[in-house]
Amino acid sequence: MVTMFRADATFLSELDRILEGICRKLQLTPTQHDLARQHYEAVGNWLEHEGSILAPYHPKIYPQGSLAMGITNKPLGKEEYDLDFICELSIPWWTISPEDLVSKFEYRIREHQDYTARMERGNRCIRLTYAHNFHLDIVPACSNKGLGYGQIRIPDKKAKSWKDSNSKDYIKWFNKRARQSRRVDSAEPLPLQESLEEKPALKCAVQLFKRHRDVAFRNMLDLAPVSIVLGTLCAIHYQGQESVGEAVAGILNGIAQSIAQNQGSILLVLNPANKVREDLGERWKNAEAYEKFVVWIGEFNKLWLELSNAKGYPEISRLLETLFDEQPTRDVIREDAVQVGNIRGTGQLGILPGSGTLTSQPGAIHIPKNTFYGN
Amino acid sequence: MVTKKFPQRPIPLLEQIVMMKKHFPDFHLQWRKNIVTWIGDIQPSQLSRCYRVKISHGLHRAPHVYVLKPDLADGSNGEAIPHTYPGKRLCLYHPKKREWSQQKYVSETIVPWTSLWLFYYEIWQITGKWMGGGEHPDLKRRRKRTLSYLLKHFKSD
Repeated sequence: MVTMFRADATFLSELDRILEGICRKLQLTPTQHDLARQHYEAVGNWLEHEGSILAPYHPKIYPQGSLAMGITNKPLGKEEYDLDFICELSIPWWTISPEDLVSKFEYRIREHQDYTARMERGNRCIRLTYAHNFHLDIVPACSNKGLGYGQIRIPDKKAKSWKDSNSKDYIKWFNKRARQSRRVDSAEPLPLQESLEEKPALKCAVQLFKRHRDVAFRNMLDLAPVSIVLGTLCAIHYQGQESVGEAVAGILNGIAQSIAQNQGSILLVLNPANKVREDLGERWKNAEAYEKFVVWIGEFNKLWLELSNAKGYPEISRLLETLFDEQPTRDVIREDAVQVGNIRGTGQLGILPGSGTLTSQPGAIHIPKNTFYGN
Repeated sequence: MVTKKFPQRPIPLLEQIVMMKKHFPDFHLQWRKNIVTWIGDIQPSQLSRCYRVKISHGLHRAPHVYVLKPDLADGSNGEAIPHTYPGKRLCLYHPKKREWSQQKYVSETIVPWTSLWLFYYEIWQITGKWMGGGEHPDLKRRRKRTLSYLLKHFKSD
């Protein structure tokens, strides 16, 4: 299965602009970002404050997952973002049970009146819900530096045993993959928000994969491929394309090829950054989930090919709505129309000789004022 | 001294043809009797479709613009295409605002407006909203009628 993206460079760069617009619609707003940062820093201060039972363990709180990589997506059909954090503590993991660690953490959080009202306890994390449509999920973790930089042990899903993890190294690995392209990337370890102009194509691609996953699996959430698997597969198969459209095409192609090479046996996706072997594709032990994933990749590839050959806003919009849902797509397309209106308002809108294409370039045929009339 | 203003002369058809040839050399030309017809392709933006349009122009009537292909389609719920006259002729300007006159070049007014119309037409197809501004004569008349009815009603009370 080979996806050939239409070679027309101007079409591609315009399509990229739309795809990047969709990513912008999906991610946290800069205001939400600043607020989230303030809130988690405040939690961090509270945890290490004098008198805290956690203070002796030097708690360090940091974003993990999509937030740390700058690829946060708004969940489908909801307004509230999940923002994930790790709170790393210098406690030897063998001296405490996972459940006790979460309880200890909860105890300290509850000592703060404001947090008590916002707090919910999950199996292995503490959730703090805030106005402005986001909540922070904080997982307490034990440092395990003996194994190397960034290695931690976190409670497993049910907080019954320990699980090795390495969020920091994963982010480093991911960012390195993203920097293959010549597009600029900030070297910040925690790029809380990147403007899209400098957002690497890989990051946009992951956002789009995750969003299409949310749309395609909306009625079978428990079979959907998990985010870290998608992010890892995207990073592995990304080949430095500068165009988001081409990056997605290349990644789809790469995944499809490795599925084919595996001849029916389940694709193994290991955490590339964990010093301990970590199979990220645990969900695929359920054969049905893996089958659905394979079918999904094939359909995604087909839609992407159609998109590359689409003609006209209505067809492009129809395909993008199938892929990423109505709202972000139409919002971005409406913005295009508003933008044309704005340029027209400044008197700088013209058309190119020959094709009649609208442009704000100098030397174009100026469009005089008109009033569309009739019914 | 008072200078008397003479109306500007209409632009002769030959001059219109020369300007059109200059800006849109690929447009196909027909000149029959007193009507010039151009047929050519316009692509309003890189993401828009390419539309084949027919523009006919004569000295004694306003230019007519039709889209030959692809067929202009009604909205997804059957709504009529906004800013068209019967027969899907495009309404590009307000006839009473002198936006178009025989003293203007078709290639510098009608063609750019057609491109703009086509751009907004595609957006309308998606969103159901005409985002290019403009006026609807019927609506205005209807509003006037409602207003006069209300005034009358109000007086008689």
